[in-house]
Amino acid sequence: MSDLETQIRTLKLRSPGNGLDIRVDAILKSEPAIFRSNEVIAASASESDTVRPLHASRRGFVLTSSWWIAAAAMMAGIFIGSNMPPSRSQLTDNASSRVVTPATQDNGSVEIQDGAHRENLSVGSSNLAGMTVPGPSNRPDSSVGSQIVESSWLSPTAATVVWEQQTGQIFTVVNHVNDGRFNMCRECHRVVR
Amino acid sequence: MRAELEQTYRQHRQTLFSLALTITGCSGLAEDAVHEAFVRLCQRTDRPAGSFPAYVYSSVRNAAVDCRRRQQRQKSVLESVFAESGSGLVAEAANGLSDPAEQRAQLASAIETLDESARQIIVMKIFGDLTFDEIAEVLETPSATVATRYRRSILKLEEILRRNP
Repeated sequence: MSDLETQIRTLKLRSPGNGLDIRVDAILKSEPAIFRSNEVIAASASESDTVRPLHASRRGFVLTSSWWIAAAAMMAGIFIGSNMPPSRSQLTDNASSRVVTPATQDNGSVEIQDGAHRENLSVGSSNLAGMTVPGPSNRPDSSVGSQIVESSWLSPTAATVVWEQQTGQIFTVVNHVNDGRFNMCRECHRVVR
Repeated sequence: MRAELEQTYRQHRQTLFSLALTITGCSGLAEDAVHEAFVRLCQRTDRPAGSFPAYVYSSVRNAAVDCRRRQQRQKSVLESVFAESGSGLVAEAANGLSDPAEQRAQLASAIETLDESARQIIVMKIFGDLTFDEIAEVLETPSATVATRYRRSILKLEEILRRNP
């Protein structure tokens, strides 16, 4: 150390006031929590407000699982649906294809062509244009000899004619049981093979 | 940690205050800076790596810089770090008091002419007994740079005193 440094060391530094000693002593002897500054409080608050990543939370896990389950269920539904036999739509197509042609045969029966099936109905020759009858697939029982035909397949006028020809009677409403479901007489639905 | 802090304060309180005064230029602000630094230090629970006195000096320096920034040097006349400098000592010398006192006043005034960084280094090196490495840690400057600045400051002081015997 040079002479100048020694001389500098002899200089007296200005002392702080007693107030500083009191303040610092108070800090050093106190609990740490008391002296939490606003910055520290703000920092801890911002930490607690921080949004956790969604994938790290339980809620996120549940959401992700739900998506996977929904996707798997949809795929299974598509697979099962594609392997199901066609039923309703094909049936409708078959039914719509079974249209009674206006050309009736000489014995009064009507020829119905339905793919591989051919049926003869003993009905009258008049008013049969546009009349449809069920195919063999939806007959309840073929051996019964008569069956109920759905209203959409037989118009009331045509059914009246069929009934009069089969029974030899004159159709009156009183003679028949009214079925509200079909808005026509139940007996009119019966068709004798 | 608390005990170490208390011991460091007892040992370096005057130098810490002087360092803060060097930066703020106001004794009141310097006291506030030291107080603020110790508040921050007491909030820490873990002991910092490296020299503990250097860490305390660094905290006081940062607090002083913050204080100065807040005040933005409202006072045009800066207070001296040394008790022997200033108007009081000059008046004392003018009344025909001892030559050593006059010499000390001249030396203190010469130190006041140095730039702030050089004054900080002198305070920490001579009065705080910190090593160049510790001062470098406080100032966040390479140790060699601190040593060079210190030597240049001593040479400059010698030159000033030679010109004004």
